[in-house]
Amino acid sequence: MLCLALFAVASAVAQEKPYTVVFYNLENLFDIYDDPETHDEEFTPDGAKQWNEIKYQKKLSNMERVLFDIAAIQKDYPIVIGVSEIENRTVLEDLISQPKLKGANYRICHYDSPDARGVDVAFLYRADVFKLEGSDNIKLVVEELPDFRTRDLVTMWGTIDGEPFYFLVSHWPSRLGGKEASQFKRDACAKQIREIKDSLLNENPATKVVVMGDFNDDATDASIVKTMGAKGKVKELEEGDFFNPYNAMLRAGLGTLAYQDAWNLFDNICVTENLVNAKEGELRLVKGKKFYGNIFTRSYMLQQEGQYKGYPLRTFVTNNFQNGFSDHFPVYIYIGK
Amino acid sequence: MKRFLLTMFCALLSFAAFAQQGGMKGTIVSREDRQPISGVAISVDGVAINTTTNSDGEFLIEGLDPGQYLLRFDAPEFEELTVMVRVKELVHDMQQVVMVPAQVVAVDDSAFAELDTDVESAGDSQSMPSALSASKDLFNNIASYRFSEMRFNVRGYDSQYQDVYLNGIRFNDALTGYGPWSLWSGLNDATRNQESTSGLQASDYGLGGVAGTTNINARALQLRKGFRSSVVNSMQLYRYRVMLSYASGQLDNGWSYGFSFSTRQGNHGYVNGVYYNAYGYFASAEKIFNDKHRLSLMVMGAPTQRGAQQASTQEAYDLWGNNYYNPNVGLQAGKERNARVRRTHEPIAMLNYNWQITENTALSVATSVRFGFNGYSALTWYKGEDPRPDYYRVLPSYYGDRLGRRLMLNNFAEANGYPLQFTDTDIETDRAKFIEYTKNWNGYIDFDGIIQDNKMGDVDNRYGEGHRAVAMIEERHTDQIDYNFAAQLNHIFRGGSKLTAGIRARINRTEYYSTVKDLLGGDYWLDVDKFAERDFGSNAESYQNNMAYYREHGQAQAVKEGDKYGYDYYAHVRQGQLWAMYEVSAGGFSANIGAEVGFSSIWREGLWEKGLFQNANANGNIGMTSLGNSEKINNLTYKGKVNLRYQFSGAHSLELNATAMQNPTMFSNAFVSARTRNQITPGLDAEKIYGVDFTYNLRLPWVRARISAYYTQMLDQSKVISFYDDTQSSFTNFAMSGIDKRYMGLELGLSVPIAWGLSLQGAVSLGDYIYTSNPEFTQMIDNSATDVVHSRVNWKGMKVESTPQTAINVGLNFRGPNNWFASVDFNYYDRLYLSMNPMYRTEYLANEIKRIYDWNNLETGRQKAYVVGIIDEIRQQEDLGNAYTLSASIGKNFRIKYKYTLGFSLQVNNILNNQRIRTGGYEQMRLNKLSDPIIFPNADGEMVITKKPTTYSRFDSKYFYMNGINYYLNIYFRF
Repeated sequence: MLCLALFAVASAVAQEKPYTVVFYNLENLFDIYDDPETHDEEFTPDGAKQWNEIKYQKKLSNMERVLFDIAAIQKDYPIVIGVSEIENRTVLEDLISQPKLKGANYRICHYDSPDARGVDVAFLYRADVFKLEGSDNIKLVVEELPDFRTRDLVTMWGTIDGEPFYFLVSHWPSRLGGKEASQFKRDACAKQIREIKDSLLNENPATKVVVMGDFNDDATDASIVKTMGAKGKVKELEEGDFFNPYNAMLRAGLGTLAYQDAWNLFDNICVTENLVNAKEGELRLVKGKKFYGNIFTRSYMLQQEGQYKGYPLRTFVTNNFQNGFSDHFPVYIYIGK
Repeated sequence: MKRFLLTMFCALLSFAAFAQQGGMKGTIVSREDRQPISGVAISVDGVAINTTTNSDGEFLIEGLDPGQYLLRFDAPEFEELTVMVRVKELVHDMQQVVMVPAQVVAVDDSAFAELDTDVESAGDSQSMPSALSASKDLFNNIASYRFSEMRFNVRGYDSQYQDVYLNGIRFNDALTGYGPWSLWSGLNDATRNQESTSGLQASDYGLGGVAGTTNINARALQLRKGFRSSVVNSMQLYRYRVMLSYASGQLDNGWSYGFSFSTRQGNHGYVNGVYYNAYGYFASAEKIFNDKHRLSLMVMGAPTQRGAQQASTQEAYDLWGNNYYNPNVGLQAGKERNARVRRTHEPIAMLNYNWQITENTALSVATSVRFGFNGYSALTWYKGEDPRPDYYRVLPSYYGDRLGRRLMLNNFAEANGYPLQFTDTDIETDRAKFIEYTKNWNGYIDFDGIIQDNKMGDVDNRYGEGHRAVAMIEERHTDQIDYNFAAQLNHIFRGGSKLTAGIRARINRTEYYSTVKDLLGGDYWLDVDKFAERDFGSNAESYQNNMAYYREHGQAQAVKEGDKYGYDYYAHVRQGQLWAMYEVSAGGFSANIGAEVGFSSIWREGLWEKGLFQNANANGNIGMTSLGNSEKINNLTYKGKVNLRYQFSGAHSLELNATAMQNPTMFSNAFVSARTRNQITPGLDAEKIYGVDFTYNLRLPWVRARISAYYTQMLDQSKVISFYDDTQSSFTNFAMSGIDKRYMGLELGLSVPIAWGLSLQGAVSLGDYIYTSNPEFTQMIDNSATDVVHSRVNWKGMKVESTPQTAINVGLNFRGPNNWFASVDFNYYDRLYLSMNPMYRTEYLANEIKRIYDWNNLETGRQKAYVVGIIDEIRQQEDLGNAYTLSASIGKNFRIKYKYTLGFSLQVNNILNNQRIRTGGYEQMRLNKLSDPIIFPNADGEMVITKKPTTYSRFDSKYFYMNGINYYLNIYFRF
C-alpha cells in the first residue's frame, strides 16, 4: 500500500510541465511612426492603411490574446517565442508589456535587418529558464545576388536546465515573382542553416539546435527536406539530422496559412536528432496524441463568414482593416523530460 | 593668421561633421512604468563615443558612418542593455528604449488563475481545418462560365433547386422558386463576395436543396475597400456597361459603408430588337458596437428595361437569312420596335443584426422587404389574324407544305393509275400563294398596318367618340411585396461539435394584372373576353372581365393607356420553417445532420369578378368563383440531410451526402387558370425529392481533381400549361400531376499544373436525366372549366429537356509573371433535347389517331405498323445534336505606384463562328390538322390513296441558336 502511494507521489512529482517553444509570424506589427529610411509609409496614420494608435492598440491586444491562449494550455508562459514581421524593438516592448503577458517578464533578442520594408525577426525568452550566453545576427548570403537585402538570421544560445541549446529564427525570401523563379533564394537560406547546424554539432555534438521560422516553402518541399536536410520521420533520423514534425502534419492535411483554397505549411520548427532521441532524464521533444508538433488555432482566429470563411482572420486585407490576428497560425513544440 | 587658420580648420571640421549625418537618438524609459531614466551611460562598440541621457531620458549620437553598431546602455538598478542599430544616412529615431529593472526575473503566473480549471487541452487533438471555398469549385466554375453558352444546368436541375441566399435570407422567388439573380443584375461589384456549396452539401444558412447553395454577402464590411470602376464593351446582351463602386472598409469609429452604381446600355450583337436600358444601385452601411454587435442596412435595386428574344421556326430563320431572327420585332414608321419588353424595378431593403454572444455562440437576425413592379409587354388583338410574323398562316409553308403534299399525292396517283387528286388550278393556286408569301414576308410585325386599322376601328357612342383599337400592346404585371425574416443561432460546444438552428418566415403578396401600354393609334380598348364573346356572345355578362364595373356602368370598360384591364388578382404565400443542424468531427471524420420542418400556405384572392365565373353561379364550389379567396393550399414541408466527410490526409477526402425532402407547391403550378378563377390544379401534391451523392477529392502537387456521382429522384411534380388547342378549337388549360423525374450522372473537375504558370484544366459532366412516370393530366376549356380530356402523358423514359446531358471542357490556363493571364478552351456538348409539348404524347392523342385510322378494323400488321409509325413520329423527342466550340481569353493588370491598378480582360467566345448551334427551343403547343387524302396500305399490302377524317401532324418546332463569334472586353481601374 505504502509502496503504491509512494510510487504515485513519485510519478506525480516527475510529471512536470513541459516547456513551450513558439514561433509566430505576427503579420506586420509596425509602430505608427514613419521611419524615413524604410518603406513603412503605409503603416502610418496618413498612409494607405491609416495605421493609427487605435488600430495599433487593437493589434497588440489581439496578438496578446493569441499568445496568452497558447500559454493557457499549460498554464505556463512559453520559454521562447520566435517572431517575424515585426518592425523594431519598440513594438516588441509594447507587446510584452500587455497586461496578460507582462507576468512572463520576457527579454528581447532583436537585431535590425537590412530588409527594405523594415521587417525583422526576433526572440522573446524567459530569463528564468533560458540562460542566455550570447546572440548574433547572420546575413543571408545568396551568391547570385550580392546586393540582396532581406531578413537576417537571428541566433541566440545558452542553457536550459544546464543543457546547451542553440536557437535560430529566420524569415526566408518570399515567393514574389513565382515559386520556381525565387526558389534559389530559399535554397541558399536552407543551405546556410544546415552549415551552421553542422558546424555547431561538430564543435559540440550535445548542442540541441532549434531552428524556426516562416520558410515560405512547405514542410515537404525539397528546400527543407533535401537542402536543409529536415526529415519527417523519426525512424529515419541519424545522428546530426534535423527533424521536422510539421512534415507529417502537412501530409495529414494541416496547415498554417491558406492560399487559393489550399492549406500551406510554411511555419516550421525543426530540431536536431539529439532532442528527439534524448537520453533518459534529459530534455526531449515531447509528442502529442498524434504529432510531435502543434499548430495553434481557435475559432476566433478564423474568418467566420463570407467568401473567405475558414481562412485565417488577418489584420489587413490589402488596406482594409479586419481587426484580426495574422494570415499565419502560430506553431509550437513541447520540450520536457 | 593663426586665428584665421584655426577658424578655417574649425569650419572644415564642422563641414566634415555635416557630411557625416548618421546616428541615433531616443528616450530611455523603465519597463516598469515607462518613466524616463536619466544618467544612463551609453557607449558604442568600436567607436570612441560615450554619452549619457539627460534629465528627460533623452540621448543623441551623431557623426556615424553608415553601418551596424552595438550600443550598450548602463544604469544602476537596471539590467545592462545591448542594442544593435543599423545606421544609414540619417539620425535613426529609436523612440522609447526600454530598460528592465535589475531584479525582475521570476515569472508572475497570476494571469492564469482567472482561467477555468477545465480549459480544453486543445493542444493534443489537432482538428482538421475546414474545407475552403473562396473560389468556386473548379467544375462549378467551368459550368457557370463556359457551359452557360449552351444553357447548361448543373446536374440537369432547374434553378429552383439551388438555394440562393442574400445576407443569410433565402431569396428564391416565392411564386416559382427560381433563382432571383435578376434582382441584382448588373451589380457585380456589390455581390462579388459569395460562399458556395455544391450538390447536396448543406450551407451555413440552411439545409439547402440538391443543386448546391450560394450566399451573397452584400454588407458594407464585406465589400472590398477602395474605389473600383469598370467599362465593358460586349456583343452579348448589351453593348456597354459602366460600373462605379466605393467601399470604405472598416473605419476606426466602427462604421463602414459602400455603394455601387451601374448601367447597361445598347443592343445585342446578333439578335435584333434585344437591347438593355438598365441601371443598378446599391448602398450599404454597417456599424460595429463594442466588438460584439453589428448592425447593417442595405438597399439595392436594378431598374431595367430590356427587349426580349423569342425562338422561331427554322423556316423563319431561313427566310430571314440568319439564325438570329427575332419574331418579337416590328416596324413602326421605319424603325424597329420590340413588342415584348421587360420593364422591372424591384428594389430590396434589408436589415441585418449580428451578436457575438460569447466566443462560441453567435446570433444573427435578418429581415428584408422586396417590392416594386415587374411588367412584361406583349401584343394582344381582339379581331383578325394573329399579327405575329411567324404565325403559321403567314409563313409560306402554310401553302408550301400543302403544295408539297398535294404534288406528292398527284405523282403517286399518276404512277399507280389513280385519278389525279388535285387539279392544276389547285396546284397553281397553292404555288402562286407560296411564291407570293415568300416574296412578301419581311419578318416584322406590321405596326404601321395595325396603327392604320386602329385608326379606322369601330366607333360606338357608348364608349365615346373615339375608335376602338383592334390590336394593342399590353403590359402584364406581377408586382410583388415580399417580406422575409430569418434568425439563426450558432453554437460551438466544448468538444468542438457545432449546433446551428434557425427560424424563417416569409409573407408574400403578388398582384397579377394587365395594363394597356400602347393603344397603337386607337383611342380605347374594350375590356372584354374575346373567346367568351365568340362562344357565348348573346350573354353580355359572359364576356365581362370586371363584373363590378359592369354592374355599375351597364357596359364593359373602355380602357386607356395605363388602365388595368383583363384580370386582377393576388397570390398570397405564407411560409415558415424551423431548422437545425448538428455537426461533429473527430480526427479526419465529420458528420453533419440537419432537419427542417415547415409549413406553406398559398391561395389566390380574386380582385375582379369574371363574368364567366361569377361567385353567385358557383354552386358552393369555391374553385368556380373568381372574386375573393380560393381554398388555401396548405402543405407541411420537411427536409432531412446527412453529410459525411472523411479527410484521409492532405491529399484525399471523401464525401457522402443523402437527403429527403418535401417541398411546398408553387403558386405558378397551383391554379388551373389563375387569371379567371379560383380552381386548384387537380391532383396537386407537394413535390418530394430523394437524393444521394458521393464525392472524392484529390489534391496532390501535380493534380487537383474532384469526382462526384449523384442520383436523385423527384416525384409528384405538377405543371399547368395554357394554350390554344386545335383539337378542341379553344383556349385550354392543361394541368399535369404526378410528374416524376430521375437524375443521375458523374461530374469531374480536373486541374494539372504543367510548368511556369501553365496548367491544364477540364470538366466533364455525363448525365442521364429521364422522366420516370406517365403523369396524369386534365385538360379543360378555359372559359367554361369543362373537363374535355382526362388521360395520361406517355413520356416515361423520355429525356429531361433543356440542358446538354453531356458537356466536356478541356482548357489551357496560363498565369504569367507581371499579372498576365490567358486561357483557351475547347467545349463539347451532346444529348440536348428539345422542350416537349406533352400533348404530342398523350394516350388521348394516340387513341384519337387510332380512331381516325379505324384501328379496330385494321387487318394487317403492316397497316397497324403504319399507324404506330404516325403516332411515333408525333411522339418522338428531338435530339438537337452535338456541338463544339472554342473560346479564349487574355488579360493583364498593371500596378501603378503601388497604389493604383489598371487592367483589362478580353474574352472571345465561339471563335469558330459556328452560327448553326442550337442551344434549345421548344415544340409548339399546336397540332396541325390535315384534311387531304393520304397514302395508306390496304389489307393486301398495297399502298393506296384513301380519304380519312381530319388527321394530325406536328407543327414546326422553334429553336434558339448560339451567338456567332462574340467578345466581352472589360477595362477596370481601382485603388
